Amino acid sequence: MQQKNFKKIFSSDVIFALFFITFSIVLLLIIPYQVEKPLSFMGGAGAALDPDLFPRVVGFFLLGTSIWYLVRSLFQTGTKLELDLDIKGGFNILVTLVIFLAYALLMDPIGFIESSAVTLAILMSFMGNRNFLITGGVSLGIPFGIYYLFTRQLLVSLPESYLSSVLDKVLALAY
Amino acid sequence: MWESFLEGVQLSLRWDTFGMMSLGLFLGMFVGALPGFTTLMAVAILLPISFFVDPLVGIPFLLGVYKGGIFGGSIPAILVSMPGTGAAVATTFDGPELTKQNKGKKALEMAHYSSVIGDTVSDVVTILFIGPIALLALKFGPPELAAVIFLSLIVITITTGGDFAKGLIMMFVGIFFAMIGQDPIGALSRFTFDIFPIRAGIPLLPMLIGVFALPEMMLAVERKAKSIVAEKIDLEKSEKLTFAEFRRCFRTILRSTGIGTSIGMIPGVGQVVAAFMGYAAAKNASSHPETFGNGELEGIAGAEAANNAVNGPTLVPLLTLGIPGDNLTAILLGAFIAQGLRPGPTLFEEQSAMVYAILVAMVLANFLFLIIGYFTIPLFVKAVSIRQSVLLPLTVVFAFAGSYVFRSNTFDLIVLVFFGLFGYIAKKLRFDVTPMVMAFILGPILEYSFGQTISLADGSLLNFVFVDRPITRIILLATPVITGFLLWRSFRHKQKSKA
Repeated sequence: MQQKNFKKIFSSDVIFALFFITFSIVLLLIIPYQVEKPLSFMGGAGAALDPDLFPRVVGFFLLGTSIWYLVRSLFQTGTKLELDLDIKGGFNILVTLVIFLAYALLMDPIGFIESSAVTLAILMSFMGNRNFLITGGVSLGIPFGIYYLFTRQLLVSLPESYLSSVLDKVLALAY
Repeated sequence: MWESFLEGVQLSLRWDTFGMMSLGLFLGMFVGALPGFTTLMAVAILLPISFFVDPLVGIPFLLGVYKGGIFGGSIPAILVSMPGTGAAVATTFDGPELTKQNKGKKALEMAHYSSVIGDTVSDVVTILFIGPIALLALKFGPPELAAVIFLSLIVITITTGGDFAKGLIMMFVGIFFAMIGQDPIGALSRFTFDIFPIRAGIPLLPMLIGVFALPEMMLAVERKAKSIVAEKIDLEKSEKLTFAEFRRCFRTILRSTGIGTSIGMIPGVGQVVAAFMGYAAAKNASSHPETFGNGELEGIAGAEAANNAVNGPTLVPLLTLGIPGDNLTAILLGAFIAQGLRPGPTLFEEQSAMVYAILVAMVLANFLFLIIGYFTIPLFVKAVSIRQSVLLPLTVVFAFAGSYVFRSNTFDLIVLVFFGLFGYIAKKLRFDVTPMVMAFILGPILEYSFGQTISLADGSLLNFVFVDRPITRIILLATPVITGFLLWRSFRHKQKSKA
């Protein structure tokens, strides 16, 4: 019963309104430390528009809108917005985020083809693909294809590695 | 202007432009046909390909993806009642009923021809009107530009998101993200927290790819969506469209084209509204409205002509004022910027031949669209049943590769993941990211124009804005009227929905 009352007051809307109120207050408080001051010229202002004017306006308007959002959420009648995310879904998202971050951080050190092949294999298996022939073929073929498209056709660089040098040698033999 | 147009026609007649437009149309239709994949996602992921080729090849390629994607969304909408894109929702009213009656092929052909006609006519109208609008835009100075950007942000916030308060919050968050880095007037450091890679600001392209492409993937992972449709679809024995049926729907196609073209020129309204309005107009004008919703070909024609007719006119505010009207044109703006071009009044003044070349390419793309669509629809019908567990991870690799290549910086990949998570949370909490993206793009221009206005006003801002600048005065006075009208319309719509 108590939990129900708690949920009734603290819907997702209320929690996020409180988050944005806090965010806007923090934004307003850090402006003096995070916005560089212009050099004064002959005792006057260096620019027509102070660099902290827009941040202040945005901070105050964000605070005002968030308070309006909070008040409206608290007095809202009918169905309140609840975050539609169960533990299993949350776990899936957490794992995906870890995979994304690892992919982002490992692409440079281990190379595009290797990091992409591992990421593809993990993501495809994680999403329930149990055909290992498809998983293996796609995980190896696609990174080579994308690497070839970007580095050879569009002439831009992607992180190199042992496998990319193998591709270079094969292409050199072919042409 | 006529000389620029003729020069534009000559510039657009290139084999590589045709080749890449065809590829774009093919990819767009393919992605549009996949339930769960959006045109927006396709354009975001394929955006980096456009950076490293000539603007007259790269931008028509993206336009091809855009056009193909909007039509492709109608394929699963007709066959399995799952709109491939938001623009195809109105197509689900009659499409699946026609498929049940063994008229799936007929419906797909009607959607294809209506889309091509809607798109072509609206592109021609765009070419006719963009010149005079650009001439008017040339009269815009900093005060007018600041006023029109402010109005556009308000209109986009009201029309795109369901909730005005949430839309405003996203708009201010977007302006905050845009403030990170350097201020646009004095290049002074703001909110960098001594992190070196963000001293130049948040990179636009990883942000766009992250916020539009990764959330779809995360939503699918959350559900562990293996595939959307299990059964195979066979249209071999389905009835084909007859000329008499096409002629019967022609008036509806023209009406919906007019509706889509008008809606396309208004920032923030977009294909979904156009499709619903086109459908409703067809039903209202029909002598047999009771057949709508039970497998009426005019319903398909009305919705599809209207949603594709939006494609050309959405470029008008982008190319003349530098203001993207929706998410897709925001991504196209990213393509222009990456090519070193800044859409706006000066682009039309300095490179009008190239602007016309892009618009002529859009018209030519429709003829390719007609041919490619005719031969490939049976192929895309099969795409409806491809497993998401194979396709979604591929989009992730493409998104990461595309975000990396522009600056070869790992930090851009972190930005990509951050905005992917941001977009996912926003979707879960029903915050529309469009006002955030628009504010991120337009915020610095607004601040810069406002700063210039203060300089020009020389201490008497109100007098300068309301007395010396009549266009600014009109825009500023119209802003509360337009805002009030849109809010009233949105409120009335909600009341009607409740009832």
